[in-house]
Amino acid sequence: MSMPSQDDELRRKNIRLALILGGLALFFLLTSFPFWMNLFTVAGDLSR
Amino acid sequence: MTTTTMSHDEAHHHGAPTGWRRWLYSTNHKDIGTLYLLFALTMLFLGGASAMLIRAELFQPGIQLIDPDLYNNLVTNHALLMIFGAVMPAAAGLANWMIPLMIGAPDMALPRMNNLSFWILPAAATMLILSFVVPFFPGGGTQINTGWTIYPPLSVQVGMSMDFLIFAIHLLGISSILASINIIVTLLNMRAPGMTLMKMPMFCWTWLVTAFLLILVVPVLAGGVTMLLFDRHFGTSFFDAAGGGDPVLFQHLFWFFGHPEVYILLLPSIGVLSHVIPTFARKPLFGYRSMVGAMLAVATIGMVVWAHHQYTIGMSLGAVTYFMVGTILISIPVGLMVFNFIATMWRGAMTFETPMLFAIGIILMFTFGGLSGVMLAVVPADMQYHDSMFVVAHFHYVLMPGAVFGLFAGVFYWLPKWTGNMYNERLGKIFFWINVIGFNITFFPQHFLGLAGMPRRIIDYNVMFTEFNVMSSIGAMIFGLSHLLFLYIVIQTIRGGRSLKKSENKSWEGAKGLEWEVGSPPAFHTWETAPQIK
Repeated sequence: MSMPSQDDELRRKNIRLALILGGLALFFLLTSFPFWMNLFTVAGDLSR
Repeated sequence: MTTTTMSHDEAHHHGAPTGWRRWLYSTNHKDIGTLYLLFALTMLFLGGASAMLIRAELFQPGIQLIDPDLYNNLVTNHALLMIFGAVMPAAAGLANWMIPLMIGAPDMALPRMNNLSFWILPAAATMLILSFVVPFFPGGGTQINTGWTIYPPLSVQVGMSMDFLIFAIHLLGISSILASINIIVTLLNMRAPGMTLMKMPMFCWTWLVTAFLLILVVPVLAGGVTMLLFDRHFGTSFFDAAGGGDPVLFQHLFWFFGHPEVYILLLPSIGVLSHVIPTFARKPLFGYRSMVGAMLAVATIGMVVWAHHQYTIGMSLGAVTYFMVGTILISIPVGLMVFNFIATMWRGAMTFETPMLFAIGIILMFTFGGLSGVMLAVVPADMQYHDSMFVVAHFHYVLMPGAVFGLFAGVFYWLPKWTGNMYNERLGKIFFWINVIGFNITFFPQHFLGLAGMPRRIIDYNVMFTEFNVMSSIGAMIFGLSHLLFLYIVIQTIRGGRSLKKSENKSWEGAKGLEWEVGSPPAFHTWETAPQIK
């Protein structure tokens, strides 16, 4: 088995970080629905 | 920062591909940067044309040229074209061109994704433009008359043009997020050996923060417009009071994106200034670390003050007080940045080439826009100014100098690097003066109009507002047409010719950084061997 080259390693590192950041964006997208709905409800209750 | 340099005009293994394939299949950061910039320039002229039509209509009271619904369409498309079509892609173009050159990387970290994030844009722009033109066709529904904020319930009632706009926003969001991921990965993983984060050029820092902001806020806008789409077509009632929802929820979602968006537009230009001012003051940037800190503070506070756009919705006193104090707090780090720029110029051996003129113009006019921002942040005052022309004047003073003039400064600063030709300095200066004078004639009177009570987004107005509107419209024509001179200068510089001087590798005497060590224009491939930063 050959050793991975420095380029391969950098490539993997880049893709790994890109996936993490993509996951972060997806997390923000998906949580935006319940998060905002609930925050809104709480704010509404407080102001009543 | 010192570097061990090597000559980098070494596009040895292969040159640039030719023909349309070069652009469509491009994975080269310089070509993609050029594509972004050309796209942005096109959108600038489209958005500018709609602005000039708006001002032509407002030249006199009464309804002259267009009907009110079309006027509202123009107000909507001017903002969307300028923000999503012109400023953001132009900043991404500068990032694509300069970040790899500045950090000694051979290209962006994910070149194919870079290609994708650009080529989504023309599709998105097509959807966006369709949203403005479909109402003109039979069965095309009502004009898109909501303004760029697309608040429900009006946006639920608009015809199919709103669906085009929602999908355009989705596509633009995907493009922005992919570009942001690429920029973050490039900056974190591809820096030359020895270039620590705190040695990174300031333009790269501003883009690192901007890219994180984009990743955090664009998905929320995407979520908001998706909910809107569901309300329109699938019977949900997120924003429909009759079904238990609330339209104000959309405002929160929108401004959670919309306010950081201001900093997204602004920060890359602050990055440009951080290079232009030290170059032409011939001094290093004053307070590098404090600039980084200020930027992080602006981004952090900027994310939690969104509701200052919504003071009039009837929030509790505690809530408005929080948003007011938070908003005013932002002026501290922003003031620090302005202070650092002034301190950089202090006792510098300054010269006033076009990029420096724009930089000084930005400091003066952006600060002015910031001051009217503090006025608007104060709740009782905002109750008076809200939705008036004062707000229009304020945000144009923030965004034109803060974002667009910064981009102009960047283009003039780096154009010799990109093309290998020095632009015509005399024409550059003429452009600056016409542009800046036109801008001020357009927007300064709008402060008085707003304070006197003229609301924004209306086609007709009381005759008492006529004089300032005439001034503003004349200014807008000067301002708008001045951009043709910009176009001429850019085309002339790209074409070169005997009348223009050739640029050296280091186009400006006081310039510092890795980007000035590659050729002008740089070879198709640069920094194939990473430089060592000492």
